[in-house]
Amino acid sequence: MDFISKYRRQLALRSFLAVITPVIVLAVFWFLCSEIFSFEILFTLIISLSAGIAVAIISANVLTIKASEPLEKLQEIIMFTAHSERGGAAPDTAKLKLARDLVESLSREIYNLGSSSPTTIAAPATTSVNQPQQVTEQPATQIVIDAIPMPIIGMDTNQNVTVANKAVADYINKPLSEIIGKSLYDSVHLSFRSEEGLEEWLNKVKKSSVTSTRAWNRVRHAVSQDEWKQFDMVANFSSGNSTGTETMMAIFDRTEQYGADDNEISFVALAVHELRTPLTIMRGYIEVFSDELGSSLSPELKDFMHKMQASAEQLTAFVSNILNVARVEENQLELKLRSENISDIMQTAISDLELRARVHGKHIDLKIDENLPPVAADRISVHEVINNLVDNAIKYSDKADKVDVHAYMNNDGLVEISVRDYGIGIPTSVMGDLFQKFHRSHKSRIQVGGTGLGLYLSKAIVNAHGGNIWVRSKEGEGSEFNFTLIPFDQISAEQAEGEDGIIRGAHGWIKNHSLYRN
Amino acid sequence: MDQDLNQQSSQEQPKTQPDPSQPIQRSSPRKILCIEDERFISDLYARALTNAGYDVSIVNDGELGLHQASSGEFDIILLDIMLPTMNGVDMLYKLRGEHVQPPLRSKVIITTNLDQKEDVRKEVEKMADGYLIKAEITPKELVSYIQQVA
Repeated sequence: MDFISKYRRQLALRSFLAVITPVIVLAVFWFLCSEIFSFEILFTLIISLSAGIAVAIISANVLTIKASEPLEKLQEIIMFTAHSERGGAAPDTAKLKLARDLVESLSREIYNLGSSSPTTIAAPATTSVNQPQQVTEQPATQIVIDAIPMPIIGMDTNQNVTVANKAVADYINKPLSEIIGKSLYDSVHLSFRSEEGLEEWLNKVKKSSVTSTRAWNRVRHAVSQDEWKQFDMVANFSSGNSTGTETMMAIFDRTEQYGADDNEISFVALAVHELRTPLTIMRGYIEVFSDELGSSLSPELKDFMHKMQASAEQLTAFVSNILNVARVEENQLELKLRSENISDIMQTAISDLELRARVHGKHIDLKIDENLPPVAADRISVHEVINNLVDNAIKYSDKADKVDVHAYMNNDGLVEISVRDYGIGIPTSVMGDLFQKFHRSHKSRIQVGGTGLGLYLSKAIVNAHGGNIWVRSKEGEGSEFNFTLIPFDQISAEQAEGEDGIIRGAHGWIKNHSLYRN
Repeated sequence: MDQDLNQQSSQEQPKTQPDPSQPIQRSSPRKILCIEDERFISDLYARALTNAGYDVSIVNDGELGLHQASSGEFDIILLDIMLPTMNGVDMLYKLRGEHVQPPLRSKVIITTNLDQKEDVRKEVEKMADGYLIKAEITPKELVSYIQQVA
């Protein structure tokens, strides 16, 4: 294998350094001590010797570690390819890289084997018309790849299977005769997690490269209606070699492992699920009551009903906040920036908040300037930011009965949204920490509840959109929170998520083309 | 939320006229299968949807749900994710995976209180027709959402 000779060379170089370094150190010390500091000979000898020994000990240790590295690699490879590997470890990119190296070397050997041994059996491999007649893989190759325990598949330039080992037949539960010579996609339905699947990748590399290797994790293939496999896959593309096989693929089965991961739900997600279930039920029954008893209730009871409804909605929004804060903490807040109409988002968000404002005796004054450009936004997240800011404004409004929300184009060419209340304001002493987690105005601690997750999360979301969030406030006169969003045509293509025919709402999505598709 | 979806769909699909080749059969009520193990929630949904004129069946278990859903007799399947005996995402693969031939006629809407997992997001978006967080919508909002589907 390639990497062994690589490490052999490295090891030789390191042993040389390990020997030569103490010698040089010794000599230099000897020279320094005797010439520059004019120490006695004996003293000089002792210092130089101890320095040399120290360096020797260190280099010996380093050498041992380096010397065992190929063994470790080998062990990793054995563990990686072993069928019995278990445990719910997350996909390991280092291992995937290792698999890439492994498959690259392996493919080279198979190509070599295919092209060097004399042709014993020649037969048309494919029914393709525009291809020159090809030669099937030699039996020698077949014998070798059959000995490899993991599934190996080779394809020609039309993505027809030219070679496959016995492990493939076992893995996808089809005889080799039904696989070889046919299009790969007749035998397997691969489903990739990444945007770029095998076909897309091949189309790309065919245009740009002579050889290339790519690894995917968590690829799925349905073996039957009731069973599917999950695996990591590595493909090596190498054009113009004489075997007719252009792409070699190796499959590393991970069905058990990924199956276990899929069923694993994080503590926060589970807690949120458990909180949401009774909330769904409460909101459902409140709606039934309010619809069917509405007309018969006294104004006082009707007001109670609205307060109940508003509180349930507030709690629902808060539960989503928890989930998102957990995502921010784990760096997992993934936003899909799309071209969105800010007016739509704001109107939906404010109409969701109206009941809450009303039961607290407030009125939300929403003003949206005309002709605002579409913004690059993740709809659900921006909805949450507006929800948090307005919710705070309602909470801290005190006796004032108005909250102003305004969307406009600012002088920097960004869409700016301001949420202004006329309440208690924020003391200057806490302004600096306002966007930190669990922070809350000290004055209001007794008057208002809340944990201070909202602003922390809003900042994280706005920043992830490439915008800014800030506050101006005067004690006793109220506060104004502002944040900016970038017009969609100003962001780069990489940041933008393509159109996918899905209409996203504030609390879910629906397919655009799902109307009477059957 | 239904409101904003309505707005958007009318913007993005200006040409959404009823297709004459596929007449909307209003003579028989549209059939909905609700796969949901939380009794209170399925009761609420069944009540709201029945009031809106749909024919609703409820199943509270994954394998049983799969059996009924595969029959293809439903217009819409509301599919929870956390279910006894089989989870909703697995069921989605079995109902809507590329290997399923012929493709299932029913629309599949995920109704769950679990947020979408990033690692299966793309696949779920490919296979399902919609995704709803149950806590974020009321039964009536579910009805107006469904009315956009069938």
